[in-house]
Amino acid sequence: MLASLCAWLEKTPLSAAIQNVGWVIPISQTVHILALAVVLSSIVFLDVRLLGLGPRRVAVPALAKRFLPPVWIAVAVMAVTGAVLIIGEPRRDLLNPAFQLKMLLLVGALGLTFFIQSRITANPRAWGEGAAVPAWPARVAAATSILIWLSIAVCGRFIAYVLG
Amino acid sequence: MSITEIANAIEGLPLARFVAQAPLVFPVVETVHVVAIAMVVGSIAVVDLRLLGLSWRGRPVTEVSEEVLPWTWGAFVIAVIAGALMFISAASKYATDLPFQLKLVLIALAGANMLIFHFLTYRDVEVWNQGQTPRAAKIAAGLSLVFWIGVVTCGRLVSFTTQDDFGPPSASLTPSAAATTAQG
Repeated sequence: MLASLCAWLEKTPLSAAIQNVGWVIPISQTVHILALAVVLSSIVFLDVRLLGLGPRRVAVPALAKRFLPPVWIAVAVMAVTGAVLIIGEPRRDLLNPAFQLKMLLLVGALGLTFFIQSRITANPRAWGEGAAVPAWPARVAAATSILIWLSIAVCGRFIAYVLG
Repeated sequence: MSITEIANAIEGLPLARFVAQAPLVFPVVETVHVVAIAMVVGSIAVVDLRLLGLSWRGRPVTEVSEEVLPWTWGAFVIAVIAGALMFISAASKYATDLPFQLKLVLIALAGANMLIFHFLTYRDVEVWNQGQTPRAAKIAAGLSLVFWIGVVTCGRLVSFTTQDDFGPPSASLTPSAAATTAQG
């Protein structure tokens, strides 16, 4: 089924345009990596705070307010650039186990990040002031979050190294 | 000695050969490099956006810098180590690659920009820590973002222009055919 989707996509004028207009794929990949920088750093800064590590001057809800909106915006940018890359080279991605694993992990990461966000905004005062170290469920969620997002980045790089 | 001779000598080092030939080493090193630069660029952007007054204006500049810059530096060190390992594995190819040379120039410019900012503009930070940032600080922050975006762009172009073959001739670890045909 995926193979026939790829065959269909490959024949579209859009796919041809993406491959043939020289700068589209390099620029899409570059923007994809820049957006990744926003996602990864924002997630790391929030999760490190949720783990109770580092300075704790800022309360968790305020930190989430600083770092989670950029995550969602950057994820949207990555979805667009990702779509361009997939449409341009459907087989390279859709039939690739590294890519498939990446997408699976992405569903998990988005769900977990959304869950963390809703737990923080549901009851901001429960998170205490700056100095408070979050309870263990938050720390587990934060550690898992870092691991999954990092794994997504690793899978992304390994698409080029794993045969589809 | 010419650049070519030096580069060839570097490539002959046991460590260089190891990175070039041992299975999985180059891909892993490259992945570490990408994650590290994501942290460098993402974290420096937090400071730059604060200096531009676009984000986190409620916090003093000094606090934002203190908390974020250790990440920038730590990630930068890791990125340089990973980058050096990749470089030596194919020194002659990278040394003569224009995007790679441009990338190093941009990193140097970013560094110079940072030094000038730190030793001049930042000296009286207590004055503008919570208020309107001076124009010099905004210019430095804007240049920083431009330089680092340039570094990432050149970095991506390096892989297009050098079209590496990494790893052993093992079936599961060669770059996928589609990747190589689509590049350039």
